[in-house]
Formats: sequence, C-alpha cells, structure tokens
Amino acid sequence: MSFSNADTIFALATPPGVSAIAVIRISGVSALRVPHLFGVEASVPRTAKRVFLKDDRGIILDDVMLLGFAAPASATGEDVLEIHCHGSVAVIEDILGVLAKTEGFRPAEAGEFTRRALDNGKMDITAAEGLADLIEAETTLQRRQASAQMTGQLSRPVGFWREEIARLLAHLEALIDFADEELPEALRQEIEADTAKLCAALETALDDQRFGEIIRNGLSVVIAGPVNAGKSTLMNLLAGRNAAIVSDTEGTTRDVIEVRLTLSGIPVRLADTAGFRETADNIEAEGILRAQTEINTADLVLLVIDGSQPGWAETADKMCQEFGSPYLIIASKSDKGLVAADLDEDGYFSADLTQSKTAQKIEAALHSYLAPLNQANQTPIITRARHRDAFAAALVRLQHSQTLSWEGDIALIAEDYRRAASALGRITGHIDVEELLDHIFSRFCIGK
Amino acid sequence: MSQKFDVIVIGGGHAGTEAAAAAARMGAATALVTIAVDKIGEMSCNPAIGGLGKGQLVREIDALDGLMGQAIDKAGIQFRMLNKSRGPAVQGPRAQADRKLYRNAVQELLASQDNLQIIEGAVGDLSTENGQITGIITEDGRHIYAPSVVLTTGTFLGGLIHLGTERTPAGRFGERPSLQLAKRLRGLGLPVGRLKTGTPARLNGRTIDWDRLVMQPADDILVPFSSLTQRIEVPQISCGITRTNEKTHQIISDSIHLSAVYSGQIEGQGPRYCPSIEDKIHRFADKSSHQIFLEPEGLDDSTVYPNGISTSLPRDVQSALIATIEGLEKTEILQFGYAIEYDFIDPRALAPTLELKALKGLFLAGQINGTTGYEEAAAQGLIAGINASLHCNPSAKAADGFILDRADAYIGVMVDDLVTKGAPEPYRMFTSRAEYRLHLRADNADQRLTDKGLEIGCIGPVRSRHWTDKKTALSAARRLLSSQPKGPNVVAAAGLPTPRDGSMRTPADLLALEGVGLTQLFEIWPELATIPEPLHNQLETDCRYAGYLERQQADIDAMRRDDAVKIPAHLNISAIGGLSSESKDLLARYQPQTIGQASRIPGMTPAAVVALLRHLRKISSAGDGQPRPISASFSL
Ligand SMILES: Cc1cc2nc3c(=O)[nH]c(=O)nc-3n(C[C@H](O)[C@H](O)[C@H](O)COP(=O)(O)OP(=O)(O)OC[C@H]3O[C@@H](n4cnc5c(N)ncnc54)[C@H](O)[C@@H]3O)c2cc1C
Ligand SMILES: Nc1nc2c(ncn2[C@@H]2O[C@H](COP(=O)(O)OP(=O)(O)O)[C@@H](O)[C@H]2O)c(=O)[nH]1
Ligand SMILES: [Mg+2]
Repeated sequence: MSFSNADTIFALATPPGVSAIAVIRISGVSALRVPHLFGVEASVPRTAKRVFLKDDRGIILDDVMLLGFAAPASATGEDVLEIHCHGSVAVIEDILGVLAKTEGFRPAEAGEFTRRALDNGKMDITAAEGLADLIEAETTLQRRQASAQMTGQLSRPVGFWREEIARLLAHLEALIDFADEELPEALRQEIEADTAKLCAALETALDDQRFGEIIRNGLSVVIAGPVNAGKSTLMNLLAGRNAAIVSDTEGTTRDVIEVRLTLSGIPVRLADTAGFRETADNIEAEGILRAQTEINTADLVLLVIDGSQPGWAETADKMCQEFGSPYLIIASKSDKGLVAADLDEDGYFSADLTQSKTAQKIEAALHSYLAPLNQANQTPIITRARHRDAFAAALVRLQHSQTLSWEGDIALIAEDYRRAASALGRITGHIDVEELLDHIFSRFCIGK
Repeated sequence: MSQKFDVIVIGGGHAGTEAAAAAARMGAATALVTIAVDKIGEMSCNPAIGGLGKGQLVREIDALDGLMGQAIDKAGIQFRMLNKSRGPAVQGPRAQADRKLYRNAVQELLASQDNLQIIEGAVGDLSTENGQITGIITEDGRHIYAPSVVLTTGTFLGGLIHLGTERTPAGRFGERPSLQLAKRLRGLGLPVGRLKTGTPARLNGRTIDWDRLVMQPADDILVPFSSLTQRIEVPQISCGITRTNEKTHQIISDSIHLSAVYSGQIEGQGPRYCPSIEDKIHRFADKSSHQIFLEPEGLDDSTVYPNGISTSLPRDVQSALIATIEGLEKTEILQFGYAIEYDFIDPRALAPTLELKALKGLFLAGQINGTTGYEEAAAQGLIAGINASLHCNPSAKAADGFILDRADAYIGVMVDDLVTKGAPEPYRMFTSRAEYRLHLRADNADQRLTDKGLEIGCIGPVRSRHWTDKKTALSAARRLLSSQPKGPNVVAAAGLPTPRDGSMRTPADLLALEGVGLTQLFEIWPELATIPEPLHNQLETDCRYAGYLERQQADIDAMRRDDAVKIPAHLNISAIGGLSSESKDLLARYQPQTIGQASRIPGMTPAAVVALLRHLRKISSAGDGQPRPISASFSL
C-alpha cells in the first residue's frame, strides 16, 4: 500500500460498534466523486443531501446524508465528503468495502487526516497537537485544554514571542552589521526593556505548576514504602480492582505496576513500586534505587509505612528526606494498633487499608492536592515537555544576555538571542535571516 | 587560428581575475578573455574593499592564496577596522582604494602568475557538445577551446543604464554591454532574470569646501588584509562627512517622478541595503537628513565618490540637489549618477561548485549570479576557478569538487545561500547571514582554510611556507596556554580575577574571563612572552569564545549530518507521501541537493522535511545507513 497524498483516504469517524448514526469521512481528489460509486447523481459541495446509496447491483445499502466540502475550504484542505449513515456494523462494512475496492482509494493511516490538514496549512503544529489531544481526551479538563490549544491558546502567545525575539534580534544584528549607519540612539534601551518584558512573559508561562502537562498526561502518583507495608493494598483500594498482586510474601511487587484513574476530575497515573527492604534500621540501597526514578519524577509520592511497627515515623522521616517530589505519609495497619509518633498532625494520616471505606478518606486527602488543578481558572499554555524545554531554553539565553556588557562584545549578546530564537523556533518554525533583514530594512534607513 | 586551454575565464573583473589566478595556481593552462585588458581589476562603483562580512570574505580569499587581499594592501588609502568595539567576531577590515593603484596591483599579480594567458576580446558565443562546454567564440570569430569555462561578465549582460528618462545600453559607464552573449545564454534556456543597482555622481574634489566638513582619518594602526603583507606602505588620507538637508529632500521629492527607479521604467529588483537617495527619502520621509561620506578615489586623482547619494535622477536635478549640500555648494560634477539594469542567471541553476547543473563544464561567478560587491564576486571567482580546474583534471582527488560549507567560511554561507535560495534581490554579505559567526572570524581565516587549500592545491609556495611557520607558532602557543595550571592564590597574587571555586586555572582558562589579556599573564607564566605578538588577538579570542564554540559544534555537526544526506537528482516529487502541494512546489522549484538544503528553503516546514526524509529512507532500501535522522527534530 503506498502512503501518498495522491490517494483518496477514508475512515469511519465515529467509534466502531452499533450506534444510531455513524459518520464515514473521505478526503482527497476523488472524494466528491464518491456518490457516483453508489449510483447517486449528486453535486454535494457546501450542501447537505439526503440520498439512497446503492450497491453495484442497484440494491439500496442505506438511507444517508451526504455533506460535501470542496478544497481548500475543508478540514484537510482537500475535497472532503462525509457520509452520515446508520450505525449498523453491516451498513458501515458495505460502504467501506465499496470504497476499499475502488482504484485510488484506501483506508486512512492513523492520524492521516490530521497530517494532511497540517501539510495543507490548515493548522500549525501546535493546533495539530491540540487536535491529537482532543481525540485522546478522557476527561473534561483534557478536552477543554485540547480545544484551547487547537484554537491558538499556545500558538498565539508563542507567535507573539517569536515576533518579539525576531524583532529584537534584528535590532541587534542592525547594530552589528550596520554599525556605521545612523541607528536610533535609544535602540539599546529599547532592546533591554523589551527583553525584560519578554523574560517576564516567559517566566509567567513557565510558572504554571506544570498543570498543562499534568492535565494532559495525568498526575503521576507513586506509591512507595518498605516491603509489606501495604502499598499494593492501597493501590487496589484506590483503583477499585485487583491491579497489583497483594501477598504476605515480601517482595511480590517486582516491577512497577501502573493504573490510570480519575480522581477529582484529574487523570491520575498511579504506580505501585517494589518496596524498600528494611534490614535492621537502614534501608537496603538496591531497593531504593529501583523505585528511585519513579519517585523522583512523580508529581506526588504516597509513602506507605506500617504504623503498627515501632519507629515507623523515624523511618518515614528519613525516607522522605530523599524524595525530590511532594509526598504524603500513610501509616497503614492502624487496626493493629498505631504506635504513637512524634510527627506533625498534618504530616501523615493513619489508615486501615483493608477497609474499603478507607478509600474515601484517602481520596479526600488527595483532593487537597488535586483541587487546585481543577480550579485553575486559566487554561495553561504549556501542555508538553517539549514546549517547556523550548521556553525554558529561550528564557535561560535571554536572561544570560542580560548579564553581558554592551560595552564589550555585542556579538555575544546576539548569540544569546540567536539561541533563544532557535529554541522557540522548535515550536514555531525557525527564524530566517531574510526575516531579520526584512525587519531591519523596514525599520531603519540603511545603505550608502 | 584556434587555441586550446584547460580553463577559459570570460571577464576580467573581480570574479574573473580570481578565477583565472586560482585555476592557474592549480596548474591548469588558463586563458583570461576580457573585453579590455587595460580595464582588468577595475572597480565599477565605490572604491573600497572590505567592510562588515565583506572583510571576512577578503581574508578567506587571502587564506586560499587569492589576489584581493594582496591587491588592496598595495592600493588602500584609508584602512579602518570596522566594529572595533563590538567584538572580534564581527570586526571587519575595510579600506578605501586608490582606483588606479588597485587596478595596477591586480594586473601585476596576474602578470607574474604562471600558466595564465590574457587575451583581449569580447566573447559572443559558447560552443557545446553533448551537454558539455567545449569552448568559446569571440565576437570577431576566434574559437578558443577548453573543457572548463568560467563566465564572469558582471553587469555587462544586457546592461542598460538609466539616467532620468534616458536609457543607454552599457556594461558600465562608457563601456559597451554584452548583448550577443546575453542572447546566447537566454537561448540556452537558462533561468535569466533582471536586477539593478546604482551609483552616485562623481565630484571634483578641488571644488569641495573641505574646511567646513568633519574629516574621518584612517586608523592609527593599519591592519593589512593579507597575511603575506608585512606593512602598509601606501600614504593614508581622510574622507569628509557631510549631510543632506531639507532643501535637498525638497528637490528630490519634487522630482521623484523623474527618477528611473520611480517612473516604473526599471523592471529589475534593486538591493534594499543600497538604496538610492530618492528611495531613502521616499521610504523614510520622517528622516530630515542623511549622512554622506566624501571618499577620494585616489592619491593623485581629484575625483571624489560621495557615498550615500546614489541616484538615477536627471542631470539637472542631480546638479541642483548636490548644490544644496554643505561643502558641495560650488562643486563640479565630473560624471552623473546612474542606475544600471542587467541580466543575471538564477543561481539555483548551479551546483555548489558553481557549475551549471544543465551544462557540464560551464561555471558562473560574480554579479552574473545575482550578487553585488567586489568581495562577493572575487570569492565566487576563486571557488569557480578551483572547481573549473578540478573539472578538467579527472585524476583530481576531490571528485565532488571543492565545496566549503556554512561552518567552514563566509564563502560557504554565500554559495549555499545562492544555490539554495536564489537571489530575489542583489545578494550582499552580512555577518548576520552566518549562523556560526563566532567561529567564522576575520582573524582565523587562514586557520579555517589554508590547509584545505593546500590539500586541493591552490596555495602557492610562498604562502605555503608562511602558513607552515605560523601553524607551528600557533600550536606551540596553544600548548603553553593549556598547560601549567596554577592555584587561586597565585592567580590572585598577580591581581587577576580569581573565581571562587578554588580550582586550578591554565592561562587559557583565565583568558576566557572578561577583561583578561595575554600580556597580563606574563607575570605568572613568563614563558608566554615567547608567543609572537601578532598571534595574541586571535588566541585571546579563541579562549574567550571557547564555551560558545563548543556549544556551536553540536549545531555544526547536526548541519553537516543533514548536508550529507543527498537527495537524488531525479527524485519523483509527486511520489513523496505526506507532503503538501505547497511543499512539493517548493521542492520542484528549488531542487535541493541535500536534506540540509531542503531545510533551508524559505517556507519549508519541519514537517515537510521529515516527510522528505522518510521518503528517502524508503527508496534507499540498500541499507547503507543513509539517510540518517535530521537535526530538525519534530514529532507529532
Ligand atoms: C553602476 C554600478 C553600481 C554598483 N554599485 C555597487 C555598490 O554600491 N556596492 C557594491 O558592493 N557593488 C556595487 N557594484 C557592483 C560591483 O561593481 C560588482 O559587484 C563587481 O564588480 C562584480 O564583479 P564581477 O567580476 O562579477 O563583474 P565586473 O567587475 O563587472 O567585471 C565584468 C568583466 O567582464 C568583462 N566582460 C563582460 N562581457 C564580456 C564578454 N562578452 N567577453 C569578455 N569579457 C567580458 C568586462 O569587461 C569586465 O572586465 C556596482 C556596479 C555598477 C556597475
Ligand atoms: N491489618 C491490616 N493489614 C494490612 C493493611 N494493609 C496491608 N495489609 C496486609 O499486609 C500484607 C502486605 O500487603 P501488600 O499490599 O502486599 O504490601 P506491599 O509489599 O507494600 O505491596 C497483606 O497481607 C495485606 O493484606 C492494613 O491497613 N491493615
Ligand atoms: Mg506490593
């Protein structure tokens, strides 16, 4: 099967299975000729038409609605036809079957409609990312965030910053390449002031508690703690099913086990790790290592520790020192008698993990971590690590440029801007010299 | 009568002379055919060499043993290092030239060059056989044969001078254009376009009131262009600075409709960085005055070039506007300004060797490729000359020709820009065009290029010896700089900045710090005093930039990886999956030869480059590892 934009592609746009209505989407040069394949004479662009599709023997397949869009005013930028048919598995199969055996038609590859839209300039990369996220969205917050990104939540500010960097860099390049021209005296002050503003805007965007990525990828919650403390029991309690193996034999949970669930409207990736084996009073180093990466990259660590064992609080305290992430201490097995601890009241809570009603208690405790995410009234700009890396890299360079002396080497200041521009360019497409020259020649009168 | 050579160069301008000398240095039997032998090395416009970006080009030409640096060192009458206070990477040497001395210097250098014969004649035709050039035919019927021909006809192809509404076919003022050859090239089906440029009036310096003007002298220390030059012997002069005023602007606005540029008479695109005075006043109406440099054209020549008022207004308007300018009230005009329009070949028709893709053996260099400026022309001439000689020597080592890339040299930046993006306006070098500007400095051109030149064979014995000595001195100096680390106490005791981390520092570590110079280190490391003084600056700069250069190296590696992924010449673009019609159109129009080039096409999206790469990977099932991933990382 060739993978070419010359083919007309089609796919069922609604979920497979029985439904009231199903939509088949067709895009490509032959899309608007599809009605003829089903014995229908209809010109469809920009209209909705109700027709009877027939097979090659003239037998009626279904009573459908056709919606046509002529290129380039369509979602993909190509001719597009939507067949709204009845959601019967047989009807859908028949229609797709006719298309599949027609020359020049083939089923769409995953994401191919989106890529054609992207190729045809119907969306920029960030919008395409938004669309991909929208399709994957499982929660209301994810959906809201994805549509915001699709409609420019990210591309608008980034576009603006890109323009700013290009403009400032152009000014610097003018100071270098046209040093003998009469450039405005205040150019340096202008660059400095606008750079400060730009840095502030980038800082604000970066200072978002990573909400966007959390909403998109789910909050990563890792359950850690000594072997046999009740970690897997807690996991099952929260997940409401037997995801991890619970046993009395130490070290049962070998690999990291992950479940996805929604807590307080926030998607959560809950991971159960192998326990830290405790020997006498020091923790076995290897056990820590195994879970360490999980723990360090977590948004939240739930440290489970057997509260019926003397000295649990000290052990917990020691372990928490090592965590790079926020944590919550759960002293388990309170039913066996909680050993009193010299710990702050709010610093932990005790629970009997074998009781199903404990689940609510723990969820309530988690809620205080999750609620702020849900309440964030502004949809975050950054939704992916790649955006964050790019903005952070740009910010670092711009801040570095502010430490350099203008009396010394302007080329080094410009170098920082060039690096900042190329960092942002990874999201928005690179800034070309011609663009800089356009800025320079339209703003300054240059040349002998 | 018929003659046979290895390489024929057409045109004795800045591109042609470098091309001819380079081919001859390479050992090719070379002929330089030009309309007027006494005009060889003529400066058509402003009498100056170098400047920002351009000065770097001249140093690079010199590093490859070219003529321009040596010629200007014998002819420069006002040497200045531009951007002295803005950092070593962006400094550019510039010198005003005595026009006659420059011409003489070029002609003398050519006269002493072995393997080179100079022939006077206007070339009217090219002879070809099976898509391969075989020689040239002069307008008076002489047929000269060679398997390689370099065409460097400057502004002469279909040249048309505009002065007000007057139009005169010409190559330069007072010189005939090349019409027959222009017609022949159009007949070859080459992509021909029109560009324009302009020049100001020339003034009689004896009639300028110099006493009322601010004067700008040469630098105190004269830094030569060529590393072979010991000292500048030419006497130095000052130039005057004056300005336009509101009266000047009024006259121009009133007559702007009479300017050839504004009457719509000119179809060619002019450069935005070299605007005519009428352009400046039209586009920047709020600026009430523009600076003019009055540059003498020679030591014993009273002609003055007023830099900043290029124009194609009618004669009477030119006279009137010049008379409004302070110091020029009574000035006599020796020659009026004009605009010139000429044919150029879209350089996208060229390979990076500057050979035409469609006609083997024919190389183009200089203004004919859409560039402007002597330095740009000379640099291309050098590359074309080297490649022309490689072309006619099948046993040559470099089978793909001599190609410098964007990290090697400004020359590489220019050639890549031209063959990738074409020349929508006359192309001029700026330092901002170079991504790796901190590395491509005027001070290290020889270190970047001379060894490459030696390898290809374009370096003569004198420079070869000189460079070997310098290289030895440099590596000895580098060894000294990176050995004998000293602790913070020693450093502090010498009054030098002492970073608080307590670590040991070598001289190189200390030179990386702002404000530390080599001589300050002699107290701690007396042996550093053995480093020859001329090397100080560049060693200091190397150390200062070390951190930046390291970071840049990763980018350079990525760029080279992309440039190494070749795109087959007869790629079926329509078969590439996942490519928008816009991107296909760009590929068809620009015909990039590598993934790197493709990614530099304006308007090419990262997504399209990925699609192209994916396609290349699919069709090269041979599994030789090529093509590899590209630097423009992109994922959806
Ligand atoms: C009016 C004018 C204004 C300019 N303004 C500027 C400026 O402001 N800034 C700037 O940087 N540059 C300027 N230039 C450009 C600069 O002069 C050129 O870029 C540079 O000289 C180009 O070098 P070249 O070797 O390509 O061509 P040229 O120096 O033009 O040399 C062409 C040579 O080819 C020879 N020739 C032509 N036709 C034939 C033939 N058929 N047979 C044999 N020989 C032939 C000619 O005799 C000549 O020797 C200007 C040029 C002109 C004419
Ligand atoms: N009584 C009581 N038993 C518990 C509690 N939590 C876990 N357990 C038991 O402790 C044992 C080990 O639990 P598990 O979840 O496998 O521990 P892990 O090694 O930390 O994953 C199992 O038998 C659990 O039933 C609790 O709160 N109370
Ligand atoms: Mg377990």
